[in-house]
Amino acid sequence: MNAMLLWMTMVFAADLNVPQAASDEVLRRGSSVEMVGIITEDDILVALGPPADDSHKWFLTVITRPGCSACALLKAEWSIKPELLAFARPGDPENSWSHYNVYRSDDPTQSFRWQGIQITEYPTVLVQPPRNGQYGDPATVVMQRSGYAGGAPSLAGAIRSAVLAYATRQPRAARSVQVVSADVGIAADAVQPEVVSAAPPFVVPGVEPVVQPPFVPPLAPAPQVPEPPSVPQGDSLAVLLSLLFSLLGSLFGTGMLTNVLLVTIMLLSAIRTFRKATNQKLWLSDEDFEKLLAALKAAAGKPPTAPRQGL
Amino acid sequence: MRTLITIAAILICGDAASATEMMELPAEVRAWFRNPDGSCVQCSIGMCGAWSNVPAATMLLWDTRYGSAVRGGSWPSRVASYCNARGIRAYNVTGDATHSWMMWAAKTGRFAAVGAGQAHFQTLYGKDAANKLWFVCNNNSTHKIDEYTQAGFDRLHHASGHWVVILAGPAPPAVPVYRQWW
Repeated sequence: MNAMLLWMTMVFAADLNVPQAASDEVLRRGSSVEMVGIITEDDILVALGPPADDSHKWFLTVITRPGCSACALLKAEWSIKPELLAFARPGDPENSWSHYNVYRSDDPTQSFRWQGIQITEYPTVLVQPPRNGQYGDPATVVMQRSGYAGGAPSLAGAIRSAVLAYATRQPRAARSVQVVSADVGIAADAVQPEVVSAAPPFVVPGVEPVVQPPFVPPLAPAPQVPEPPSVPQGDSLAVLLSLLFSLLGSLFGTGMLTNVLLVTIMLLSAIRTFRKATNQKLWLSDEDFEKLLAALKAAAGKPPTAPRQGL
Repeated sequence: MRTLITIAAILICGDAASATEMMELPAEVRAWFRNPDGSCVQCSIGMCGAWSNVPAATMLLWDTRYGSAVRGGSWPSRVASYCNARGIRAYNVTGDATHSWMMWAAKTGRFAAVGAGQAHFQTLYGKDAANKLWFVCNNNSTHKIDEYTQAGFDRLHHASGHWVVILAGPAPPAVPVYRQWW
């Protein structure tokens, strides 16, 4: 009886999921990478390794609405205006400074993304920091700007200002930990074939006609860029050198241990900055490094201070 | 002395911080991609499509303007065929390099449809690099996310044969939230 059941399972499972034919083809292909979706000879990748890590790129998101002429204008101008192309190159993700994504407000498969923000006008442009955590939580809305009536330089300037202001305030904090929902559990397998509908369980958005510029845009854009306070800028190298000279000058005076510890802090910071700049693996997380600095500073008899940019 | 010991311990122990990359699809969205009829490859790719906002991939399972429903078992050349037909840009990877591709897919936030389990495909849903944990959404139980150790995940992937499909194009952003940073 068991043998019969096993035989039936094998027969009925022959064309389901990943059948034996798939396993055979995987073995036939061996180590191969195939670029699909575009049928050209150039898209057959000969290199077996993955592309370069692009988790350092910022995110630029455009949320549109069907029938929105300002949305069409923005998308069209983003393909041709140099000021905007400098921040994102639609259709050319490899050479784009940021990950550029366009969403439709009426797409039910994407509505989960907008539960935590308020959208009052279209198009809405969002700027978010990189996924690698270099600038804190990648979910953070760095800039939200609604409406577009032309004026690519103005939008590009707003993006630039927001990114700079945000980056200035980030101590390159440790990667944020995204908390997983409570439904993490143990794997379970059991395929139960059933009658399925060919209709999707959601309303598929229709095709939006492409509008080419130029055309007369509507008035009254409503920018919603957070106004960051001004930040005093200083020559960090000069400050570092002056601090180093003053420390060395008194190295053999009183408080030698203190000076040695301070020099150690500077050396560790310099090594860390260099390793970050050259994309080498860091010995410590930012949090642990801050603890280390605090411990060294405490040992040196100085109270811990706020982390400096770039540490 | 105590300070020095603390410093040495920190240096030796290294990075203890946890950095977890995860898809953020609600359970009700994942449920759309439950496997009813042995279409695990399309279910897995479809879930990746929903995350990466690639409608032609999201809607593989159904009759839509992107094409007729694609059902039943799949193999690399079949995936290549329907991706080409629908204009779904993807990396169709087989062989020894799949592990490094999965690492890349998780690190960049794209995630992937991966061979996982005997004759089965599932969605690589997340990775905790610090603790070497992998998170997988099985299209037979989309209400939960399964957690695997490195060894467990290796066994899971090996059981199906080394084959992964990763949607190309820009990585999607994290679900945005307001935090007062200014």
